[in-house]
Formats: sequence, C-alpha cells, structure tokens
Amino acid sequence: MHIFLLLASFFIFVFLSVPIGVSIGIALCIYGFSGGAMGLDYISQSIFSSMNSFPLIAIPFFILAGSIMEGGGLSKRLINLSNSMVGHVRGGLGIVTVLTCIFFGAISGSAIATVAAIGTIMIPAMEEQGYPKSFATALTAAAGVLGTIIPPSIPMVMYCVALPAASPGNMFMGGVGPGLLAGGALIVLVYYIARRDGYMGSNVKFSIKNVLKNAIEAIWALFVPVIIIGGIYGGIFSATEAAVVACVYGFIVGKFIYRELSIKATTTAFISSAITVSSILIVVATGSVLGKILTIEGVPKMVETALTSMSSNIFVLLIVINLILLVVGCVMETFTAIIILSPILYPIVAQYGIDVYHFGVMMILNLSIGFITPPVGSNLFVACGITGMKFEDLVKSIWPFLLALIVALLLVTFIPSITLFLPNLFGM
Amino acid sequence: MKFLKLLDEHIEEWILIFTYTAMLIIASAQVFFRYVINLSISWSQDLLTYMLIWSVFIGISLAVKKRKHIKVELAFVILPEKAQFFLKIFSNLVFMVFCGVFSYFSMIKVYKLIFVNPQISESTGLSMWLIQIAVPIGFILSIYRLIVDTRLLFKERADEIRIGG
Repeated sequence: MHIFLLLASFFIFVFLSVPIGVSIGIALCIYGFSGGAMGLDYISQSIFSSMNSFPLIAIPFFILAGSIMEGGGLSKRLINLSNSMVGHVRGGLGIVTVLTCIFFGAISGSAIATVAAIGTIMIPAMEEQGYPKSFATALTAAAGVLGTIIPPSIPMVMYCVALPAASPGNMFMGGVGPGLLAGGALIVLVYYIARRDGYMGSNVKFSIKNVLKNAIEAIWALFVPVIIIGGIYGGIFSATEAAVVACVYGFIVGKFIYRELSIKATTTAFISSAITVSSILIVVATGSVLGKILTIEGVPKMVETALTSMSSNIFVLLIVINLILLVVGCVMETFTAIIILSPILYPIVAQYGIDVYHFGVMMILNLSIGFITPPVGSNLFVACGITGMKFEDLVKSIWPFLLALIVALLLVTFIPSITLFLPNLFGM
Repeated sequence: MKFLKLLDEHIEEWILIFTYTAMLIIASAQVFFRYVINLSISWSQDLLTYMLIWSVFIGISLAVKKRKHIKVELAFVILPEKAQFFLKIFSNLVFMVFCGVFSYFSMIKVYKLIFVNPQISESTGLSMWLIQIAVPIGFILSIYRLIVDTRLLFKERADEIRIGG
C-alpha cells in the first residue's frame, strides 16, 4: 500500500517537471509520513550516508577531467584528426562526427558533454557542406550516446556503486567492444544514407602524411585513454586515481602545451563540473534510498516472480528485460534507473549464469539509447539547443539512428564475448 | 553593502572552487605519495568523501540558482506557456518543502552529534557534526535561492505579458 503511494507520487512529481532528485525526496517524505517501514528521520539520515561513500569520488573527477579538456582545445584537434582519416569518403563529415565521438568518448564519461563538445563544431560544418540540418543534428545526438559506452563512463561507475560486486576497471574494459560496435553501426548507416542522398565527402585529400601530422597534433588527447585504461589495467591505478591523473594531465596539457586553458577557464570548468556533480548526486542519493525501500517492501521478489513466470528461458528473459529497460529509458533518467534497477534485475539473471559485466554493459547501452528517445532524451534537447531545431522535427529524423543502435544492442545482448572478450584477454 | 552583494552573487562559487581545488590537490597528493614515495596516507579517502559531501550540498544550491537541476522536460514540450509558468512555480514550492523537511531532520542530527552523542571520524580526527551540517546549510541556502528564483519567475512572466501586449 505505502509502496504504491511512494511510486505514484514519484511519477506524478516527475511528470510535473519537478527535479528528479526532489521528486524522489518528496515521495520518500510522503512514504515516511504516511507510516511506511522507514521513518522520516531514518530516511533523512540514509540520504546523507548514501553520499558518504568513497567510490562516488570517481564521479566528480571524471566529470572535471572532461570539462578541463573541453576548455583546453582537445576536441578541435580530435576533429581535425578524424577529418584527415575519413573526411574524403562519401558522407565524410558524418563519419568524422561519429569517429570524433568515439575518440571524445574515450576522454569524457558523459553523453551530453560529448554532444555539446562535438556538436557545436560539427553540426555547422555539416550544414555548410549541404547536409540537411535534421540529419546533422540527429546524427550528432545519436553519436553522443557513444560517450557513455566507450570508457570512461559515469553510468558505469554508477553501476559499480549500485552493485559492489562489479569493479569499474572491468566495466570500462567491457565497454570498449560494444562501444566500437555501436559506433560501427552508426558509420555504416551514415555511409548508406550518404550514398542514397548523395552527400559528398569533404574536400580534404587523404594522405598518410596528413593523418600523421594531425595525429601528432592530437597525440596529447589520444594519450588520455592510454592513461586511464592502461593505468587501471596495468594495476597501476584504481578508477578514482585514474580520474585524478586525467584531471592533472588535462590541466597540464591545456595550460602548458596547447596554452588554451586560462585560469578563468579553469575556474569555469570547476564550477560547471560542480553543478553537474551535484545535480547527479542528489538523484543518486535519494534514488539509493528509494532502492532500499523497494527492497524492504519486497519489490525485487515481486519483479522476479513476474519475470520468471513469463518464461524460464534466459533468451526470452533478456529480451523482456531489454524491452522493459527501453521503455524505462524513454521515461526515466539514466542515473535513477541504474541506481534503482540494477540491484533488482541483476540477481535475477545471475541465476542463469549471466556475467555481471555483460549485463552491466547491456543495461547501460540500453539506457543510453534512452538519451535519444522522446520524450525525455537529453541528447535530443542538447542537440536542439545547438541548432535551434524544433524538438518534434528532430524526433522525426532520429528513427534510423535509433534502429542502428538497437541492432547493436541486440548483438551485445546475445553475443556475450563482444563485451567479455577484452576483460578475459586481460585475465580479469 | 558591496561585500554583501558580492557574497550573494558568488558565495557558492567561492566555496566550490575552494573544495574542488582542495579535492584535486589532496587526491593528487595521495596518488603521488603512494607511487612515488611509496607511503600511503590514511586520512585522504575520508577527507575527500567529506569534501565531496560539502561540495554536493553547496552545489545543489548553485544548481537552483543556475536552473541546472535534472528534470523531465516533457511538460514543457506539450503545455502552453501559462501552464509552464505555474509548473515552474509549483516545482520551486515542492523543492522548498523538500529542503525544509530534510534540513529540519538533519539539524536534529547535528544537535545530537554535538550535544547528545558526539562522534569523531577516526582517520581524520574531525567531529562528525562538521560534515553533517553541510546538509542543512546547503538546503537553507537552496531555499533562499528558490525564493529569489520564484520572484524572478514572476518578474519574467510580467515582462513577457507586457511585451506580448
């Protein structure tokens, strides 16, 4: 009874556009006040103590590393590099956008940051070359999804906070294969549409010399993934330490090598990261208390019974879970979904021998697709903000990209080795 | 007066720049000590977590001021402007209730941590109330920002109506 009150008030407040963390908090108040199993003073204390957790420290540092590097001139150099590599192909600039998002995803852990950083430069460039605005905007919004699949990734850290059995290092390694696969699917789609509608390549001539020249220019940016992934995998750093090193590295490169990072830009990066971190962690803190209450009220058991009564075949179960997550991703914000749902869903599939990293990467790819689905796809809003396109118009042109990513999701779901190949190779 | 105005405009930003700089320095020092001098510092993890807590609650207030809290914007896509205005006011009111309820309960906790049952963090030697008090401070600051923001919303609305004719 109390639990329905809790969930109903949560959804009502969310749809009245009350901030998500606040909606959960108020729903918790209503639950505690109406005599639920947890009193208000205990709820208040749980919100505080769910923030008193060391693994969370990785999140501000990864976000800070991303915004320091945006201010330091790295994205421009990554675009130049991609352009020299694939710009000459048909639909070149579209492919450049996807490739740059792959590179940038290896620096930043956030989909929105990726859309903002790449979109502001690439969308106008594509329009200049005669690409329709709707295509350019939709493509950038879709390619931004790669930011959370390609490590580092904030949602992956969140998954490991929710499921302490998983380590961020392995999650990151597991994301590489699926990230490249999703990127590949987008590139194939862009190439196909470009042939069909006759978009040209850019006028850059391809030469190995040019690629090398741009690679050397961008070498400091390309080194970031080496530090993060190599550092974690070489057993040198923990994920948090890798994030700290990436911050310091980004600062040194932006300040002393590219000389584009002023003191003013640094403080701006600090403040904007702090705002992002707070707006995420208020959702995480209240969301994990909501998760606890759901457990006390026996919701995971109910979900399990409902799911396993449908079928005991793991393939069917995975399809059903994916469908549920796609719907959830459409209406719910990713971090809330990860914090609340992964502790409920993972134990169910674990009984069928599904690996914690395989499930995690599948779940995050699935929920990240929610970044480009209406009504709440945040990538769509950011991309609309860049081009001034109407949300409804953008939604119409996002479908092909959505389908390409769903195909990638199906492959990741049913071929575990796409995810597990790299972690196994490194003996994890 | 001038100082008060500056304080009003930048208080959160100053605190956040300070905590983030300190967090970055402490965390770098931790990595440096561990790998270069081979000496691990025991207090750094807890101290970092405490600074994160402070920065999060102060940042919540700044996110109110900058209107950067994560929300589902569906209603803004489908509703007319007048209804959107009421929703924004409603959202601010709910936010104030949220801050009010939780700052009340965490203030009780702070009181208990000072007078009834004092606790000290072992690794850092800090009294726990120093960390807990970040919650009411951040939320009360947020309530202040919400009031200012609500007044701003009314002013923007009045301007819109005047311009709109």
